[in-house]
Amino acid sequence: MSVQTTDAVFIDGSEHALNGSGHAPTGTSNVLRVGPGHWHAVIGGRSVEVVMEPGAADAFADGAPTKFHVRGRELTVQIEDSRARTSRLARARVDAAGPVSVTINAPMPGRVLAIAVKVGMTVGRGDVVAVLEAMKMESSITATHSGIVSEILIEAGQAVTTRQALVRISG
Amino acid sequence: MFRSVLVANRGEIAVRIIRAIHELGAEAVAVYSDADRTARHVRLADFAVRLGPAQASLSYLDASLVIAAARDTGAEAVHPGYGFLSERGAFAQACLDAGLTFVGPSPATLDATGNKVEARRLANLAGARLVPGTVNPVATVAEAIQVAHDIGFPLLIKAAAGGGGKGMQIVETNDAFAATLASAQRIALAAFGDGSVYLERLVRRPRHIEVQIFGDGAGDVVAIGDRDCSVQRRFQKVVEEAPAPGLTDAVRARLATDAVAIGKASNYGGAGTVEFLFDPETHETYFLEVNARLQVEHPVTELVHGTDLVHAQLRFASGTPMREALEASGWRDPAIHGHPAPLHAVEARIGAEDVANGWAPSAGRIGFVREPAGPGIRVDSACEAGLEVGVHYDSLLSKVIGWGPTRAIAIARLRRALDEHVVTGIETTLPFHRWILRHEAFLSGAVSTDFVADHWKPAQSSQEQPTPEVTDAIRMVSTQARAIALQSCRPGAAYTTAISNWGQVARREALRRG
Repeated sequence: MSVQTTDAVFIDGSEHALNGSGHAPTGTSNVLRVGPGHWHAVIGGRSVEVVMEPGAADAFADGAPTKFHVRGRELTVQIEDSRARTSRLARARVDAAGPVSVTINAPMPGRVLAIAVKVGMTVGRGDVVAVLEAMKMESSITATHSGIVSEILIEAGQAVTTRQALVRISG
Repeated sequence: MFRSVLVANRGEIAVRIIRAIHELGAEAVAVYSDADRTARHVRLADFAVRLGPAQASLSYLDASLVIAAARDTGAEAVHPGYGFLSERGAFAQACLDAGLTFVGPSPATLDATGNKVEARRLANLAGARLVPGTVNPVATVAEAIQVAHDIGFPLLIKAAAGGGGKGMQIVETNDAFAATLASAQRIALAAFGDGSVYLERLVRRPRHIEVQIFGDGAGDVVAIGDRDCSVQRRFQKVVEEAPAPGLTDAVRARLATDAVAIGKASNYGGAGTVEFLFDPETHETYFLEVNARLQVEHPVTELVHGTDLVHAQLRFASGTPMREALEASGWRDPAIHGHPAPLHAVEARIGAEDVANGWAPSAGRIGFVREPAGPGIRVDSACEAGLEVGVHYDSLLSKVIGWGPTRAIAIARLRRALDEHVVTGIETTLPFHRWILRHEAFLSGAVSTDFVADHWKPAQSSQEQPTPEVTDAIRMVSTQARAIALQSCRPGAAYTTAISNWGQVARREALRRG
């Protein structure tokens, strides 16, 4: 199937051929599954243990990044098949035309201590839009894009969950 | 020794104290909130009592629930650990009133040392130097502005009832003062129920050095070495070691003398810590505060001095004379036995925080965990696969300590151990700790409380390109993992429930390709 030959894996952002003849390791190599999400490879005599995040399977399916733990390092790994590549390139073309609107989401569950913006305000990238409290710490949530605040989706004092949309910004 | 001791805490410290209780032949009573029903400390204990819902104020911070749990299970003593109720004089008094032994200083000592203003007065009486600042809490904003002007900038705003750096904020300029003051007071009021703050001059690039003390509550106090806890992030310690590296004998002796004098002035009973700021430029030492409890970082002292501090606490609390309790727990009085062969220990506090994303708290279920072991490694942990890390409590997951005859050996062991350490499902501070244990300034002992602000950039933890075999391994593992996912959706596939996630992948893939 032609899909197979153009699949790629991004390791910390660098692209590598996932399979096919691109970078075949030299010498003998073998890979064994030790347990769920836990693998071991011997490559040209070198031993490499790999532990994946629990969500790795879903991430692969979605073409989303996941994390591998290898030799005391945490590496971002993202598989991209040819269909995903096509849609990524399509998305890039849309993005180049400028984002219509983006939401700023909560990075972790917590409680909204303060909302720093109002609808209609102009915010710059990096400006604080809200302050969350979690694990007895205050965290400032900042705008990822510049634009005008078009919607505030939370109230002060409210509990929020991970990835819950807090504020919408129109570009 | 007691027959039964209640541990009024959770997480790694509850596990550590329950282990000591068992080692001394007593039974341990665990308490838990609904969030911790299946936590390790609950499973290791001999009795387990539910306190209430996850919210700390309705469970671990509710003194009457804890005391009722002790009474109902027949516990004779209560060990508070650190945090929660550990430094509340009123809780210690309530324990005594209920006929329970409180494993810690007397209520009067806790009241004196727990209030920073009173602690500074005591330290002053004991002859220790203080950083220029207010002796009494600042009442009004107008007064605060005047005082801030007198002390000069940069300065620190500290919660009078705070601890562990919580509610402490730096103000660089006069312009930022009013807004920062309001924030500090709000946090202090929410966290400690007391919004009063005091102000003091900020010493630039100081080291944070503390002395472990143990007192008999009647004027006899010994110092059990010092620790350097300079590596902090927003006033939270992240790396600690014993002894503090590179101090002159004169500075080390002055710190011990001051700590003992402060302990005597407060009639200190049991284990405690006196914290100091050390100015590496002038070699001045300034009293900071007394932590009237077991410290998070107590293991580095235990390893270097061969003394089990929790054993000593329990023995002393059960009536054994202080020096006898310490000696039975491994301590040797250097005044009699001389100084033993030197040892060094370095501790990494592993927290559920995303160091690449502003150290944001990271919640979730731990998937896979492998904690290190081997020569010169101690792990104090409540971390297990399946553990749900929530947002209700402090983010500390575990402490990994490397120790050995020299600082270099302790660091090499800890570095090796953290490379073996794997935690999935949540973000942890492991990448930060692996980075700092390779940082030249840390290796040379050039630490300060600004170390993280000065040197840490998240990208640094993964600057190096992965080696070719690592890249190849990831390519091959990814290929095979996906292949298994595809295979598992065929009828009669070998992989079933253990890799159910892969089944979902396969189904999605099949849909996509179909």
